[in-house]
Amino acid sequence: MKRLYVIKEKCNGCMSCVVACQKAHAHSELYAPIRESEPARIYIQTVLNAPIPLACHHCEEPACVRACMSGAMQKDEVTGIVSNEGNAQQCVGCWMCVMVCPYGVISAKKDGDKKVAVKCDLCRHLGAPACVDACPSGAVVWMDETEAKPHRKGGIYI
Amino acid sequence: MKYVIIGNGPAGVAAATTIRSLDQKGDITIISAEGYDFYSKCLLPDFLSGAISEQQLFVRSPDFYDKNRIQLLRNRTVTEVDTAAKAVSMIDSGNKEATLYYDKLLVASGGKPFLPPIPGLKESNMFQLGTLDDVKKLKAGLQNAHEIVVIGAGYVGLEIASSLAKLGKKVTVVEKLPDIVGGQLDALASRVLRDGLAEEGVSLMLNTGVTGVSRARDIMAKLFNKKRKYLVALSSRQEVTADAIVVATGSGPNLAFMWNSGIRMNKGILVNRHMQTTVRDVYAAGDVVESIDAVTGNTALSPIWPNAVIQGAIAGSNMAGVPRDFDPQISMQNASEFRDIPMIAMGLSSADGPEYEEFVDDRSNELIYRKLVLKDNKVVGMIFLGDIHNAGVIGALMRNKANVARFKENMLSPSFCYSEVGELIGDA
Repeated sequence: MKRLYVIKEKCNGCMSCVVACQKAHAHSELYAPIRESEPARIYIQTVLNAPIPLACHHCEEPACVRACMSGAMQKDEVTGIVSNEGNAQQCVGCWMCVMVCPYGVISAKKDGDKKVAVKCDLCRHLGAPACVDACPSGAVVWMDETEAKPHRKGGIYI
Repeated sequence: MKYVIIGNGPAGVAAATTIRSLDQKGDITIISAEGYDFYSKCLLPDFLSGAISEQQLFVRSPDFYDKNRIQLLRNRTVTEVDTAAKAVSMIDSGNKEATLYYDKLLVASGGKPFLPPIPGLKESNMFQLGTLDDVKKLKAGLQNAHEIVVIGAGYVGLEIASSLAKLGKKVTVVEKLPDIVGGQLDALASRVLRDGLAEEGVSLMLNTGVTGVSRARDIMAKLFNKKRKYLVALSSRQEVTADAIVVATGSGPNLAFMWNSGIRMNKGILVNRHMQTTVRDVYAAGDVVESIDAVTGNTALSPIWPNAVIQGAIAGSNMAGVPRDFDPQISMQNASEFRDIPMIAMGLSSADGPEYEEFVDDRSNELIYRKLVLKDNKVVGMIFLGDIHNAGVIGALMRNKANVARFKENMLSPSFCYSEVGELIGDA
């Protein structure tokens, strides 16, 4: 199963991943019109002045899926992707997932007169995460779990 | 192996799903007192207001039971559990009795709304909010009702009141306690919510009990054979007229059928870390159990959805023979949204003595208010109102009883993030 990994030493904090994420989910070529309305699903956090990218871990036993009381948040058995979009059940913006996510990577988005929770879906509509293509320094990578395993102690996180 | 699960809510369904993933062959039967597939009771206020359809209440796809080979017995009320004979007695809607035998039993019968012993209430045009059928009855009963009194200003009472106001009803909420949501918020946070209610057209009467309900004397109604209103008498000696009364005075574990089972119970069923009761092969999960609270270390009822699912999954795993411990969760936690203000509260709402510390980010003029309560450098309570980002990070620190001394001054700053404290939270 392919997953998103972060090599934080390589991140220079350029925010390209954030911009690419917003554009990919707003289906927009332009950034300015969607900058405020489409929340990013990948975050650049700063610790001791060093940037660290952070996105959903697509957990084995996701707390957000357990907490979801509308049934919208589901983990795809085949791809492992955790998402509340594209399922029969709809997000109602109850914020239970925000309450239980230990990574703090779920945000609220205005969707007409409703509000819904949004999070990384590994750009399943594109087949591969937009942030990975956009990263100029190789800090955000998309690789198979088995391939990543031997490197994890060497600085591959997520 | 025969698995029997009493209750078709989040705990029961999580258990059934877990059992099926670990045991492909066993028979799984869920007994439900209601006539529906698994639906979300948390969404009933939204269904009442018309914000969502009946279809949207259902949490799983229609093929869920077939796909997981789970037999769902609908409209069956359990009357007794005989742990010696390993038998569950039940009656169907036609009062026909039946008995089901089990190898492993899960009691996940959820909560039941309280009906306060107010004279005249039961005989009035009164509605409770325990089930989808209750809310359907309320929905139908509202057609001819304009003035509605809601008894109880907990989360449910307020959500229902707000839903009713959206439908154009004149709503009065009466609450015995001095504040809304029973102390789960502090004074400032509840004031922000109360102001919101007033703007929605809900009038709120705090510190006020209901002493009785009677028929209003209305000569015009009598003359024209119109429906007479009810008079709701209050402890403040005032009276409020109502066409309908909604009772939202909280709920308690639904376990009347368990009293003869020999299983130890306090307010709820007592369980060990495997969610096993004091009797072999009987497990319990969800609103009916008392579990250990991660913040206080004491056992407590914890009637919220996420904890019910976790408990159900742990019970299911142990029932299927794969031992797994329940990690204590935060019993008092809730997420909600009123009038576009998102809100998450966990644990204590205020300092409880000099050994506590409080950190506050008060931007209540912008409808943002955040507060942390610490004891011995551990987070024991939080209120996030208006801005709920990172609430889960704080919750994880609370659950792990992490020492936050190094960064406690920074926890409410915009730069605070998981990456700063990840080693205290670990991988989920």
